[in-house]
Amino acid sequence: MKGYMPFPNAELRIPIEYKDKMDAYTRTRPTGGERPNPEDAPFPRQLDLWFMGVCLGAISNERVNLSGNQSHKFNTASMLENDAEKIEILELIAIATTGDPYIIGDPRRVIEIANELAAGGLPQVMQMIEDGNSRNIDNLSDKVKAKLLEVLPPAKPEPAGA
Amino acid sequence: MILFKRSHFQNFRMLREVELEFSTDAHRPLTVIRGENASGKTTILWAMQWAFWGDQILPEGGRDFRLHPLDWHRTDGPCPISVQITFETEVDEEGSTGIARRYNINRQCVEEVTADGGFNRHSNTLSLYELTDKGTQLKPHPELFMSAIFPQELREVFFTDAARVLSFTGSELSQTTKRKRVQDAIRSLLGIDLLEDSRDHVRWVQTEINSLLKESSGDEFLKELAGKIDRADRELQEQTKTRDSATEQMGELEVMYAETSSKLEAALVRGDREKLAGDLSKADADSKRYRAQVEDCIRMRSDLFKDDNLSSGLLHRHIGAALEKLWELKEANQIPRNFMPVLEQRLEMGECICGEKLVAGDEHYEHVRSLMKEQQLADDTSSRLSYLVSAALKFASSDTTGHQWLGQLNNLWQMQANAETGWREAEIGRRKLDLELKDLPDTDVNQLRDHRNDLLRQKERVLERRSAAETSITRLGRELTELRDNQKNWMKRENKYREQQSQLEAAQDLVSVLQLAYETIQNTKMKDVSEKMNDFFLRMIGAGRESDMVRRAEIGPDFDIIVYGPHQKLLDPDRDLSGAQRRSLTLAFILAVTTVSGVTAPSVIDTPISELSGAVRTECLRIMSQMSQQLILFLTRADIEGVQGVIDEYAGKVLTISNSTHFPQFLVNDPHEDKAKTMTCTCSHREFCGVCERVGDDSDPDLRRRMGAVGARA
Repeated sequence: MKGYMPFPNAELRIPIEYKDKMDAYTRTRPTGGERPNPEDAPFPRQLDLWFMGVCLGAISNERVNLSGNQSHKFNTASMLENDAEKIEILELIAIATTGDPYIIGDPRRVIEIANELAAGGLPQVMQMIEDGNSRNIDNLSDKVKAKLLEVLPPAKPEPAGA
Repeated sequence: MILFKRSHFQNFRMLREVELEFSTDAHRPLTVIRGENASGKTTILWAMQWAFWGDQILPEGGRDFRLHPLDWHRTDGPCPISVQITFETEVDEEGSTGIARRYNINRQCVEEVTADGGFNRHSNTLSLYELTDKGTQLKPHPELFMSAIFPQELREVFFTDAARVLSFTGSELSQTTKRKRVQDAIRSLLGIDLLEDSRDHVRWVQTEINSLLKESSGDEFLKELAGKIDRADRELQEQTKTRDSATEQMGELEVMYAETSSKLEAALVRGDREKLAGDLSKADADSKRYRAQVEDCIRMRSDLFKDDNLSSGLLHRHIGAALEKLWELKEANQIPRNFMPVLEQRLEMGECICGEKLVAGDEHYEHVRSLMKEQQLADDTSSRLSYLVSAALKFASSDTTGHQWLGQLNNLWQMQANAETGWREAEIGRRKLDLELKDLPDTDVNQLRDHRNDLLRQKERVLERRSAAETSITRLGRELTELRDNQKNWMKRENKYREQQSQLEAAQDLVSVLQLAYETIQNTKMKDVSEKMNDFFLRMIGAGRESDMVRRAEIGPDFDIIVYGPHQKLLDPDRDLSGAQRRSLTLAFILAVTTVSGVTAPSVIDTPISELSGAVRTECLRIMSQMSQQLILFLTRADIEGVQGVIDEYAGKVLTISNSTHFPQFLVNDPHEDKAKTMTCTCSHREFCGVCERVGDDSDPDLRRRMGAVGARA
């Protein structure tokens, strides 16, 4: 559903201690400046790193309450305006996490849950990037692949003759 | 025949006072001077050559080459230097007499050490004495006499050191140099130069007689004939000069052409600079292209982290759980839910579904309006939830989308690996080409090609000139024969020119004899030298059999030393012969040219066999000893090892030289000398004494202590 933006002014936040690392591991940032090499900064945008945190927080059911002083607003949710599927996923996560479909009627809460999950998942994201002997993007690729294989059911066999 | 009898050196470098005697025994022609490195062997070689040819044979003409001992101080005063050599020869000032005469040559000079450590050399004199039973007789013009007996072109034949043992075959010498040295040695020893000079002189005499005839004869016809002969003769000389110069030029051009061709071949083997540069540029472009591909793959892999297939894959369980909740609502018909149209209709009708009137402004109306507002929100959520059912269903296949993401990741990894392999290979290729290009001498292949083509054109032009000159020479030769026959017949008929006719005939006969001798030497003697050299060479290296790589060596018409392998295959002495074989070839050539020429001159050779080993060393020494009239060799103890038997058999004299400063490091006994000097003793190759005993001699099974020897300190 394009153009649907339930939380235009909601703030996307992370724990303040991850601010520098978020800068270091993303290729582009809202403030502009030098574009780091994707080998070192594997995430295209800060949003993508945050979203990976949300996913991992959800998988491990880690939620960290973010009080205003301890968190850093890196953007507003309006940047999701053209990313309908991410909005859908955030809403579905909120439903799955709370068990209440009507939670989506409270968009601020949906983003709050996402922020909490992101805060819970970010340590894992950083670990995925930093652990290993390879370049950041290779470390991350390896770990994400392993995580996917861990959570996904086995691939369906290819139809015969395919 | 020339034989060295003895030599005496005074203050020539470290030869402060040294006297050597050489074997003159025809059956034992070998003299061995045993000495280790830095004991004065090479100095003796220099000193003897200096005695014969003076400063000109010293490095840089002797300008900075001091002759006085290194430890001669300024306070020691002027240093008198002299080298005397006593030799025997059958030649005197008039030529060969067949009677042996003894001479003593004495070259002297004085050197004064200057305050700045340099030196001045002066009072350089050369004296020659004939030694007779009645006493000594000073001979005039010693330089002329010496240059006749010891022409400088034969220096390499008489005196050869370790460095110059490759004078005729060394790989570092140009073909032209080697050819010139071989030619000089042969021409000088075989007397070809002398014959040529004599022939040309008689021809000149012939021309002079003819000129006189032309001027003095009153006979017009004879005058005309003499004039024609004179013109033809001059033209013949001119054409001969042209032909000879063209031949010489042709030789030089051929060498230059061969050198340029080999440079070109080498450059082409190593690589054409332009082609290499092109290949490098292509490799550079390949490297950049592959590197860009690698970077693209990494960037695309990075972009994969914003792909929703990844998040939906990771969250497929959560999406499933959410879908379950939504499905429950749908099953309970709670979504979609839309009350708004009903309420709007009732407000328009002015009657509630309960039957009560709805009038704007009253309480019931406002209540319905409030309900409508709440319902609006509930309907939006419901509508969104309803939409989310379809969205969740779309994501429900998230296991598939997750695997798709993994597939994309693997593909990108594979692409990146391929690109990296391509990049690495291109980079290796690029670096290799870069190095090749840097290593490539600054040779322009095209320039070399142009140069070679230019040389080819020059060769063609010179060849044309030579052919034209040869044609003219043939024509002029016929014309001259005809004219001289006419002249002879006319003079016979006239009967008054008998004297001139006899002179001309005598000159003509002489020219014919000299020409014949010249051709005989060129054709026969050269062949003899070539065959002897081949014989000596093959015996020295033990080759020539069917299984051997070296089959034959000969001297070609252009004075090249040519070596053949199996099936008449030409071998390049520089590349296909070992260092030992090249040394043997030089020694064989020297022996051959002296043997054939009959010029029985001494050969003085410094460490000629040090690079040879085993049978080659023994055979070289044996053949040299057998074929030489007098052979003086400087050998180290290491050189002597294994050839003691040959020395026993052929050496008429063996003596040992030692360096006083070698005590105590190498010499066992203190020589009690406060100056560096060469010491001599009469120890043979199998002995040592108090003067020459070196560390280890005592335990060497090949050596014995010379009993009772005090050692003659020179």
